[in-house]
Amino acid sequence: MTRRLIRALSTLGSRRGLYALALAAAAVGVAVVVVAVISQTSPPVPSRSAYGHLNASTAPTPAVRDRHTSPSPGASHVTTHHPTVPTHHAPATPGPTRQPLALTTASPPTRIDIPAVDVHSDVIGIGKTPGGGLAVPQPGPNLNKAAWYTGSVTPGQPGPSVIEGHIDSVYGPSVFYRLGALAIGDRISVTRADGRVAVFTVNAVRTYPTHDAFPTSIVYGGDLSQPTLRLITCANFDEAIRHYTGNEVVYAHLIALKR
Amino acid sequence: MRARTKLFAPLAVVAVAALAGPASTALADSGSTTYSATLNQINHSGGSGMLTLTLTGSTARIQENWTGLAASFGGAPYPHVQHIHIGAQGVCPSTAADTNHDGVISTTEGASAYGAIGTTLSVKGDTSPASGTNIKIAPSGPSTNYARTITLDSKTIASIKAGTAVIVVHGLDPSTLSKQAQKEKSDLVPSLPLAATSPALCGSLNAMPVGAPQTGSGSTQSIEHEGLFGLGGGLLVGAAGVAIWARRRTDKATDFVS
Ligand SMILES: [Cu+2]
Repeated sequence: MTRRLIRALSTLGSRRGLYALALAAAAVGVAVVVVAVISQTSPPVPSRSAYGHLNASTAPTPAVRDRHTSPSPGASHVTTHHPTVPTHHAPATPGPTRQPLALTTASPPTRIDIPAVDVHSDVIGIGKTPGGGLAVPQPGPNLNKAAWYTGSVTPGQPGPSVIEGHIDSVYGPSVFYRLGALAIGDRISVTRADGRVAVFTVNAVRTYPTHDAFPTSIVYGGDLSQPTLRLITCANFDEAIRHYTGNEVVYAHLIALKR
Repeated sequence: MRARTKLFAPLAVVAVAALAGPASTALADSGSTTYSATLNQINHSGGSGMLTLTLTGSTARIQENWTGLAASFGGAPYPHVQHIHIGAQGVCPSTAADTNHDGVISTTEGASAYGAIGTTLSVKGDTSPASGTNIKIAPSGPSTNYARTITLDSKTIASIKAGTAVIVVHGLDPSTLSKQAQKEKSDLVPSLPLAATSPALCGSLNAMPVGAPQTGSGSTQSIEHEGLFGLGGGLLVGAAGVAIWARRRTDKATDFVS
């Protein structure tokens, strides 16, 4: 590089020399810009293939997929959900009870684990702001924790249980930074205060470009008959106003219960 | 900023409605508020459920799902009368409400928490408090998938808006009651046993959060390493400059030759 530059300088004045110098400067310039672009960090954006179906009961049952195929601890008391043959204590007792897979006792969530995007967080309870909106974790020890909306059902109860998290904070990436990388079939485990673990699988990942487009009645309502989970974070950053203008919502439904 | 948006929101809605014409549902939608209630078990009923209510004027579109309640009563599907209770604290009673210590919170014992019947959530016909114990029009069996649009009276609407409305589903499996309670009569309908009318599910009705949560600061969206971009850009501009200068020299040389 330097030799080339010296040669270019020594032949300065000649046309070839000037072109060589321009070429060298351009090459270095492009390289520097490429390095700068590569070193940018940005939250993943949901892929089109993760669009999925909002209504879990009409969604085609995805092939159960676990990117991190580690055997789950305490799998001896797993209650598995099968769409056609519901069993309550599979596989130990195959006697089919007609009871749907659900927890009828309320117990707030304490922890959320999403191995596919490396999310492992405590869960706090959160209510509404005086203005009636969903409050968000504030600066302090809870800023980067996931938060369960206390007005929604507890995970595993029939109905949508709502858990939100920041995508980023002034300190950088936050708990749901990588939520956009979730795919259909990914597993979400939510541990409750009573020790039960509700395991959900993703059936849709949706981005709503504006806060106005946020489908409140679907996110907090929708199908009330089966236990579902909604994960909410921000999306669609607007460079002009320096704010996220929209939201990402992950829709998942219960597939197993663990002790 | 938010306040200003709020102020202008009604104007925007009017404008949209005017543009879209009378067929538009924009106006109706904007006047709706949706509420939800998580129906948790009370008196160890073993049930769970959820209800959503969309209120537009005095019209309430109700969707409700519950499961795990007593299945049958005297060989027939167990009737579960259910109501919107109003006018009290807007909460569900704790076990402390069992003032006669029979192990059951009766409908009357729970009233200081959730209040009196405001609306009966029957499957058909009358929805007034008068039909509160009419088991013929109550949902029945261990679970239900309830969807009904009804007109609410002003008292119920006021209570819902004040945040004091509570959904209560009644009807316990008698065998789960204490010996003492099994012998007791209903506080609502003396001809029925206590179990038949005692609360089984309860949940306060609250407005769904409005708008969308603001869960990001944008810190990971700002341009990082701006210096590198400056250096690279500078080098590119310089290269272009040198190239143009070289070309002009070439052009001059050409001119000289010709
Ligand atoms: Cu009642």
